[in-house]
Amino acid sequence: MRWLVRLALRAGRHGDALDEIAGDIQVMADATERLSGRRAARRRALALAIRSSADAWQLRITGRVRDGISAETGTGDGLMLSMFRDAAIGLRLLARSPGFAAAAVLMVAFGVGANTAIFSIVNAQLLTPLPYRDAGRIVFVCGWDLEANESRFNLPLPDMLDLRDAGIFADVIAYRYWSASLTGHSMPERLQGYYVTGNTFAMLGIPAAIGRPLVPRDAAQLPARVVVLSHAAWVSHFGADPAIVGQRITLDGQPHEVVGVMPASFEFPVFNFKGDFWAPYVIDEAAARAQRASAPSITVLGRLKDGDSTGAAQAAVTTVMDRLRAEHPDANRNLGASLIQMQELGLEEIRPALIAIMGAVWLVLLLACANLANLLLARGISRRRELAVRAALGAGRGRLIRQLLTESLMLTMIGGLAGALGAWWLLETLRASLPPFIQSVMPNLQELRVSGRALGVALAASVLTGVLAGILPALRASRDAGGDAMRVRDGSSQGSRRAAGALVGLQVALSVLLLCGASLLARSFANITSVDPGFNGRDVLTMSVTLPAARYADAGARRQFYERALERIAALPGVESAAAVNVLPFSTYNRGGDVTLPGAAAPVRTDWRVETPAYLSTIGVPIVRGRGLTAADRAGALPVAVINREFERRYFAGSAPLGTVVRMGDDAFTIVGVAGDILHDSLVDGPSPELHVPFAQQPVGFMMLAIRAPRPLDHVLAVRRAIAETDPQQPVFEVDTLDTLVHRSITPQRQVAGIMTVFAFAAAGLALVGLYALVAYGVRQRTREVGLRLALGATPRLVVAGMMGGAVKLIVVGTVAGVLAALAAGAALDTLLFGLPSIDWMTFAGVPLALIVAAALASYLPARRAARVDPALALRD
Amino acid sequence: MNLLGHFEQTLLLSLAAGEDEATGLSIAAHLEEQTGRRPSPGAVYTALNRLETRGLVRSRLGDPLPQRGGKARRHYKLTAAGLASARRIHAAMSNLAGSLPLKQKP
Repeated sequence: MRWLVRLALRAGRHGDALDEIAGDIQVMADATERLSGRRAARRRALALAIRSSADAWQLRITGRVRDGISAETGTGDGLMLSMFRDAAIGLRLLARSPGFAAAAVLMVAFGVGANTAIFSIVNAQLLTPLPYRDAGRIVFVCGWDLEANESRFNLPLPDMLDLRDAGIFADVIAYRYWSASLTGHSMPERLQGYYVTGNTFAMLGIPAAIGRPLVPRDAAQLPARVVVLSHAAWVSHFGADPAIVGQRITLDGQPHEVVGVMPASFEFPVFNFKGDFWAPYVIDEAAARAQRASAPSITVLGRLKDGDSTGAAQAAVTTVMDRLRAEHPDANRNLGASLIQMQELGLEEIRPALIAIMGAVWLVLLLACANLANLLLARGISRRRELAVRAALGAGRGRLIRQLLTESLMLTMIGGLAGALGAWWLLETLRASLPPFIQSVMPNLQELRVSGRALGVALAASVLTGVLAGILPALRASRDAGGDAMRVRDGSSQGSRRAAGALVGLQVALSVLLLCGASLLARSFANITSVDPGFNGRDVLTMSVTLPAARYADAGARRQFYERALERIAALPGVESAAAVNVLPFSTYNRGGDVTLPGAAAPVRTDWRVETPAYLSTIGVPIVRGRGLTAADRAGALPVAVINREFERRYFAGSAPLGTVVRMGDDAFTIVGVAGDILHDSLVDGPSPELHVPFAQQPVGFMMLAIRAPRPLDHVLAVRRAIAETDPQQPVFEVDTLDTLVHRSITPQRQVAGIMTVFAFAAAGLALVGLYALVAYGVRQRTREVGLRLALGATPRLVVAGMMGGAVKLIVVGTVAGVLAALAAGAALDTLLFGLPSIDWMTFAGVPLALIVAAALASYLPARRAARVDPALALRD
Repeated sequence: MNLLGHFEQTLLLSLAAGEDEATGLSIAAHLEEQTGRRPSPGAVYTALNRLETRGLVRSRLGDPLPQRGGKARRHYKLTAAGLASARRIHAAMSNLAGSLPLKQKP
């Protein structure tokens, strides 16, 4: 209370006079306290403080203030002054009923706050252009698999060169992932970086914070031993030392001179890791064109020519790709290219979720609106006498409506301000609490805040709420204020009750809609979590160990490193088994290739796993036919492979796979077994064909470890030590558990379902409170009638039924409308749902039933009070 | 244009009628007595400030008082110009009031 007084006083900007005013208010409040107690004194102090501030402003602005000899002029005050006066009166009235004011403000704050926060997220993700020069004209040139009709993201290097030479784009840049070991420090570390073409930074148009970005001459010739650091890497690995520019660091055993550090706000435009460093991509164009089949895949971006549309560029690119496919039928088989606006990349998945949440928050705001309208209606009834007096003294209807609208607007503006503050706090917290994994891939993170645009939305939402919620009660109350109203006792008018009823019906419908949406998402989420991924991720520690090509050029050295490290790890106390594979499921990486089946004309695509013999048993994948890989499948022995059931189902329909020889490039593998399916990228999509081959026969330099041990994270240090004993220079990264990897893949679904559930329950809560208030208000207004009925012999049960009758009708009508709307909305949510029938009866029957029960209870509780009315008291009142 | 608003005129009259030195509190009480409505402290002090900047009123800090937590209270007094203003207002008002009673509706 005291702080409210102080706040109200501060709003008056009294300057030197503040002490005097506060002192006088104290004196008057003390007098009130002696007469009527502390509560009254506090209320008086607040009222005086508010009036003081309002008067001070009025005096300053207009030179006038209401006093004992002011005359009401009725008209001619000027709009500003009268609005100001309306606001002052409104503030005074609100200070007199703080409970009502607090309820209204909180409700609006919730609605507006949720809207502002969600809009800010949408704004950062969908609306704000990425922070590159002329970002709208930069497009990703993605490979397109014409057979599978899906994007492959990357494009082979020679095709990039051909597209560049075709002159479709004003400029073309390309980059290639490089995961490098940083040594020469205390601990070897893994950095994620990119080789980028020399023109990359020029096209993005972002200067370095320290030193310089890479320029074309850096990539002009080998060896290009320079590197630019990201701000994050500069801080975490080099202690934010500006003197690092000009020094040499060791990446994959080679010295590189640091020429610059990018600013903290710089985000590299990728659909994966934003990167710790960038090194020049030196391209031997002749060699790349000579060996199209084995050329690396790279990420390609182009800047559209001025005046060129994406569509025109896409057509030109398609023409070039068609020609390349004809010229190189093997290397370019099924390869097309599609242009994707930089802003659009990766949004296909989150767009429906964001739109669903956006819809939900607008519904919540609408609900808050309806509830506020109801509160105002109820207040309008109890203020009939006041308004009638004003009308009798000559206030026109328009004047009364303006007064009432000003009051509701004032409430929603205060609520909106509180909501905007809440949203700001929420986003600050959210941004700080995002897991590093999300931070490293989420674009436009800097923009994730309450921007000017979001504040505009908050303001608009507040004004809209104020007008929407205020107009109906104002029209109603001002109409009721005419004529004989002065003589009428404070009783509810039929019209007001009907309007309030319609609003409650609307609330019930909206909350049924939201609850159904939330229920669908929650049930779909439960379905996703109950999907069997095909392996047992419990108690499996995972990490990545990538050997630098410079030191491990020899296949024997790579084989020796992993085998020795695994031996050491398997011998650790508590470790049950240890294995390695080139890509773990849910690691966000994948490797695939084309295999040719005997007798087939064209090769087929398959995922490609290189693994040690213990891998499948370590993660609990069964061998369903034949045998698994064993230690006997060593280098020099017959090259073998194990396929999964999906491979068998898709490519061996009717025939037995065991003993078949499949070809992959120059290698031939004899299939010796069939293993269970493993979901790799998501729990939602089905399994892909997989080909498992023994690491000993394909000793690659990038492996991930899977270590089965109870309480897996307890073993991290020991495992790191075992690897350091094998090679002290070798870093370990991406340490996790297999369960965490799976869990992470469903984070978006969990968040969407969680947010929707919160909103839905908030909405249902608002609706129930509205219902309760409506019935309770009706009971209070009809006390006399109830008393009369009881006196004439009505049973309490009949009275309760009478009070509830109207409410039940509202509940039923609202629920039916809500279910119909939800059925329509369910179709829109379709892309977000998993494993549910097209009409999920659990949701569409369960939710309305639950809400009907809750709503009936919410109206029964106040109605019961009616039956307890003492007829004698009620009639005398 | 530096016309006095009528609340400020009322204050001038109150200061001219009351004790030699007045406080915001005593002015408010006096106005309540005479006109039936007590102005808010915010109105009183804001108006007094405006009068002071126009040289019609001057103020000084009094001795600390126990009932206000030892804080000093500001005392207000008309300047010569203020007193002249108050006289002109009073004369004009009295002349007007002298033409009472008011006529009935036109």
